[in-house]
Amino acid sequence: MRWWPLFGISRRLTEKRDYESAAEVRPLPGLFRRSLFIYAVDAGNSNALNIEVAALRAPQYNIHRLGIFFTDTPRHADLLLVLGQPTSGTIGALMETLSQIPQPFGIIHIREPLAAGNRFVDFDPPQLLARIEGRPEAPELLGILLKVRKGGAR
Amino acid sequence: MNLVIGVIGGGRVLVQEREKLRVGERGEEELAPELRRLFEARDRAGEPGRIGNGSSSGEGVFDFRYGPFTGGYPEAGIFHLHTYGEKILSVEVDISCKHRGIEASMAGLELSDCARASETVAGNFGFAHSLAFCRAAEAALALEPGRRAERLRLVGLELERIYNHLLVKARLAQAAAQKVLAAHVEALFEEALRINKLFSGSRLLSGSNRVGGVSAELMGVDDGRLRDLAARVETLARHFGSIYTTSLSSRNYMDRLHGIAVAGAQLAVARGLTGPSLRAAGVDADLRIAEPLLAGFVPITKDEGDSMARMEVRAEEILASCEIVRGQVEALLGGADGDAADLRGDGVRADGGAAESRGAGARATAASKAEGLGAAESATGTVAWWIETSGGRVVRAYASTPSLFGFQVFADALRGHIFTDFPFALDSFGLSFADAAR
Repeated sequence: MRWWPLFGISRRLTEKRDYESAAEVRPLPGLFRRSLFIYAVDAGNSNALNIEVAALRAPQYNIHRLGIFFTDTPRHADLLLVLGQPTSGTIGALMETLSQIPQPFGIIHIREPLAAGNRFVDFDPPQLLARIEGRPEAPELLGILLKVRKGGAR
Repeated sequence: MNLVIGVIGGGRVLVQEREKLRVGERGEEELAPELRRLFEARDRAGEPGRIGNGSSSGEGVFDFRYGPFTGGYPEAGIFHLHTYGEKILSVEVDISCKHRGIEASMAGLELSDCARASETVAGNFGFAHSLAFCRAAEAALALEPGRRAERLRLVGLELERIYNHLLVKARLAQAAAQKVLAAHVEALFEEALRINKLFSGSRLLSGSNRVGGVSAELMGVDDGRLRDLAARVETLARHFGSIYTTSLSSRNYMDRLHGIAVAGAQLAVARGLTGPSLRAAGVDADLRIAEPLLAGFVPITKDEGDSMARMEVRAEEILASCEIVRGQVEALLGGADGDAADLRGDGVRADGGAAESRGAGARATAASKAEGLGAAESATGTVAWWIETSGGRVVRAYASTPSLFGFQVFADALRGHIFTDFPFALDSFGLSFADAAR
């Protein structure tokens, strides 16, 4: 039996490729160009977007090498990633979360256009950098996050 | 073993008997009080309400509210942990945040639109939900999909099980700070999503099921893609087997799971629990036993009913599911199910006739009022849809979702544990707020 901490240490899992997205992202000049800390919230998505965000943790992407980190608290966040259209049950907590993020910060809102239901509410915050219609897969999601960083380049 | 997993009104209930689901005539008043309270909470899912075992009182006891947005759990939901500081005395779970009113929004819509909508109940169980919905519609319309479509559905169902189980394994490893294990399992999780895309064109297998069969793209999947799929699933199984065997040598990891949140057979059956969590309590209930194309299927069971047993069942099911996928792909490649070109995959023959409709034909049935029940064994348990349809549209729909019962059993099993045990208990059940709240 191999010593567990050395298990598979010779495997190269990180992929060298470009991650792109056609999404339009409003630039934030001078901000977040070296690193981007993201607080992701599930506003009412079907869990599909949560799965794609979970996939970004995979070693294939190795997002830390690109300066991208997910935080566990809004107080450490540069970017709020809102997953799904808010419901009447989440909008209150979402607005409270917004008020807890230190300035300056941006918001990316991903909607699931096919999501069924009758309890969704409007969400139109001022700091919106992009509103994505659809269900971006992990590689495209990473492309969107890299665009936020690129928009920060002077 | 009779599990009551739904109350569809008019004194009728959905009952699961090991591998069969039926509409029972038993009155609601016969339900155990705990189960009746659970179904009442389900019907009020849009209002702040609680599933669990009530609040606790005593010196210094307070309600520790965890959620709806936390760094520790990706979905929006609220846990009320009643505690005096470390020990959890009782647990209540508020699922209202994720209630979207999906069943109610289906009324008056076409069956095809509702099949797609059923996927959004829980995106990670989307294939199982749309399969159960389509089976309910097919039962109502007396449609029978062809063998090839059924086989492709089985492959999709197992692929969904594989990635969900891998995610549960990864989350348990993260909770136990097993960084090496977590990284390797996360890599396999990503690979499983890519295999899904190779198979269906979608990483979460979306849009695969249609009333009467599967999507045209899935129906027309060529042999090259199927061979590639089988090879990648085999590689995944080999890597996972090696990782899993090695992980069992970590006593630290085992110790975090052993004896945590025990849900024995009696409690599990009384609360309507299904899926791997029920099988981890020694009950061999699994809808796949009755799948005609899975002859000889034997469910994987463990006896202990704790987080460790649930993890073991899921791990062994990953390997078993890989084997099922390979077996089904082999049969598809063998061409035993007829020529794929004969069918468009949506239950309609290329010449316009209904595919293998029973008796009088589907078109005549579609115009009249009918009801149907369909189910599928999702990664977390029985997903069932009961629908009433008329003129090709849904009149009323009812979804029975495994996470609702799972949250109740989780709440019961967590009592008496300490905060450190919380993620091991929760993640081992593989639950989803979206699934429970609909």
